[in-house]
Amino acid sequence: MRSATPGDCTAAGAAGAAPALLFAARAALLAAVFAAALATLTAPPAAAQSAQTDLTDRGQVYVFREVSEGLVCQCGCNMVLYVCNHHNCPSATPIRKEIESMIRGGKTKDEILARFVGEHGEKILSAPSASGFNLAAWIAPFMALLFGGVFVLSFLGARRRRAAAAAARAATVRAAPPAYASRVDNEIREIGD
Amino acid sequence: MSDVGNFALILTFGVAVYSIAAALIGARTGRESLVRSAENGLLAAWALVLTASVSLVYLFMKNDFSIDYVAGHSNRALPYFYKIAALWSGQEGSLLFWSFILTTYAAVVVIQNRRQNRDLMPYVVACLFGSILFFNIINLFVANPFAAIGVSGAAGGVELRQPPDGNGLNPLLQHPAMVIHPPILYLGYVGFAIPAAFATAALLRRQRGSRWIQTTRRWTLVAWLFQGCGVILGGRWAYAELGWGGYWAWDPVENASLMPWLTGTAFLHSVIVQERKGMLKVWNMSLVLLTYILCIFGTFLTRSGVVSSVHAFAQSSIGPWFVGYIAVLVAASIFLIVSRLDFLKSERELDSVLSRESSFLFNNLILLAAAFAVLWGTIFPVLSEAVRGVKITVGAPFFNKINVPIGLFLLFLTGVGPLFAWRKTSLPSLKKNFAIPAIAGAVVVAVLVAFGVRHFYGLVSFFISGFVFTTIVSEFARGVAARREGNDENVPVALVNLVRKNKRRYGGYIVHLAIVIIFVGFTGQAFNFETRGAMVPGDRMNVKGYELVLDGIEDRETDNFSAATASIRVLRGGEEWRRLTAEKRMYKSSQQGTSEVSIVATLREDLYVVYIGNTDDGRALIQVYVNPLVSWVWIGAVLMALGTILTIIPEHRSARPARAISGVAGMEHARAGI
Repeated sequence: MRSATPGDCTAAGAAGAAPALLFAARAALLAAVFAAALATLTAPPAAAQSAQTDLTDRGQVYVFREVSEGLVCQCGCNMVLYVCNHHNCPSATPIRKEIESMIRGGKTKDEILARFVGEHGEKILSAPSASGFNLAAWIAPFMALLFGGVFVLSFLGARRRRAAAAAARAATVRAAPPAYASRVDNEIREIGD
Repeated sequence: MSDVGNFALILTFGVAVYSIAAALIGARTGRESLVRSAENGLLAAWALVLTASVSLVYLFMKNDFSIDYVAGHSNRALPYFYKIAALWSGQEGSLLFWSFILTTYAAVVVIQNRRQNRDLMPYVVACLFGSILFFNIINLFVANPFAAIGVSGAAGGVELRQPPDGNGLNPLLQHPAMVIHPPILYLGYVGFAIPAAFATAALLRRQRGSRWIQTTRRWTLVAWLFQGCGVILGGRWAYAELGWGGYWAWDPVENASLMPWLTGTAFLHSVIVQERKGMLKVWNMSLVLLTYILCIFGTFLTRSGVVSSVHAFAQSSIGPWFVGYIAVLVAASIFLIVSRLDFLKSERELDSVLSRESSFLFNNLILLAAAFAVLWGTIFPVLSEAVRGVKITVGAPFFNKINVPIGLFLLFLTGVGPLFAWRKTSLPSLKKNFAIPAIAGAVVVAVLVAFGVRHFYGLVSFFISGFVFTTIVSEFARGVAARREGNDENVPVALVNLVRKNKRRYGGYIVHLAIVIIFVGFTGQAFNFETRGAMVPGDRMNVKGYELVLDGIEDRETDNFSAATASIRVLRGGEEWRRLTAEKRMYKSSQQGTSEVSIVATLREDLYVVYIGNTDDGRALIQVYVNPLVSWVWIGAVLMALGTILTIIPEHRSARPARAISGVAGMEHARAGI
């Protein structure tokens, strides 16, 4: 017997086509109003700027942000350089100045990061590089998800096959009594004859 | 008083050893009196640990700085409010506090089960006492909160001394949220010990049914609720106290609290399949034990110093003890599950891949993948150092890149799950059920794109939020429509009755709705705005429609700290809208500085103002963040708590309590939900 959960297709079907259309229209209208309200909050600022740098050029600010989000402050606070807000931080302040100077000198993001890795080691990067052993950091979660997905699908497949086999066995058992009954009928007829 | 505390801890040790032996011998020989004696031992342990905890609080109140822990975490000027909180502010005290919560929970379990679950209780008592004993040993021999300050004397002996004042409480912990955040988080961490103890007892008893699940369902929900609230409160504290404009930094200790919450969420979902269908028994056993092990692992991460963290307030050398305990827990869990596989066979088979059961499994997969991703990122620096000998950092950018897509997929499944029927769903009905939510999501994205929003993950998140929101609302709409038809009720009455008559199902949907709201709040982060200005009194700064006027900087002194306070007026449309005070403090005893931020929260966005310090020429550095939608994170958290509380309240429609029913009948009786 099917369970009458609200998610059940029968429950959905019972609502009928016209109420469903009405509901869809209401949902769409509600969604549009919600989205319009969101849009006023989330529209990107007209000019790029950052509290952490005196750079004003949009492209330079973008590179500054990318670089300083890729580095970790070395004062011991363990914060990403971009968000470290310690006033006159002995680590963040000179590093930011150095980044600004390198950006003004035309260095790219990768060149700047490489320079800091050379100076401080890999620990200054806020995320492991996607190469060598560090690649495992990036790949393992998705590999786990992939293997987990394959496992779940094969588990579900095996369960379904077992359920189908059990259903077939049950059908055979249910079919047995009529055959048995007809044999008995025949035997009774033979005796009667 | 320290002697009283120490003596109570020693007695707890004795009671624990006796009670474990009594419980196990009682179970083996069938002597109920021994089991009862062990249960009474748990009540005695609660009284003893309470005595030790009260003793420590008393020492704080009396400013007894001859005690190392008191001197290290308090000072004379510390407000009484924080002297109580100092109990859990450091290593030794927080471990004692852990023991107190555990013994309190255990005492409630004993009182609840005086007449039921008698076959399980000896093992439950032994398991709980095993955990109590571990923390008691740590408190007695490794991290004793009553240890006196000792200095080497002239004759080579140890002299006791009492400094005139203590070092004070870590300034970052002197915040109202920190008074309630740790206890609530601990109530979560420790709470998972109860379902884990019942699960272990069921394994030891070779119990075939799902009685342990029915017995511990509310315990699990309570632990999950506290854990979730603890995590969110931690975020709230970070937002208000750390002053960097965000509430989640993927710090290892934040991660440690998130992992058991994720696996606990998976357990709460998959356990429904066991209740209804008698399936996934091995899986559920594994999940509940894993969740408890992750709770211990989280405690280990906080305290061992094995990974760098802003929560470094409680590090010491107790790491190896925790590693040993976790190893024992893992080995025992694996052994018990493997050796009891025959008793954990499914009672039914799966009818279709397109079914509610399958959707629960995929939900579990994603939750575990999220937990694994967090665990992997947290421990990867340790692995890197062990394998390559190179120190690396795994910070927020890594976790965001890995977990944002996983989180969005999880949010999607939150909406998809209810669209599937139990046993089997046909493709046409699935398409039909998908249509309206998908249209709603698409309309949200279309309007946002029309307004110029181009942030990819932001748009995906809003699409899924619209989709899931519509799914949940339509569940309520159908239920209300059905009630109105059958009972002639108006909409509000029908809605209230719908929820009241099936708290578990609709409480679960409210939790899902809360998750959508929280995700909308999270997505706001993609559109944060910030700027900084160096100002003198009278200067103005325009930030996204707000005009900030610095009125002045005032110095003030308290016994505990000295502070410089920036008074700022906020104008909107030329009219005064709010007055803010952002402060820089310097705590006297510890000589540590903090920034006390000023936040104006609205449903639309937060105006977040930090007084960073002064420039060399004496101007005040004011940093301003405009963070959209943050309030929705806290609103969603409150709604999540309310929904969970609703699922915990017992249903009244059944004449027989669920725990009285076992086996297939119990599964048939169990209702859908979460």
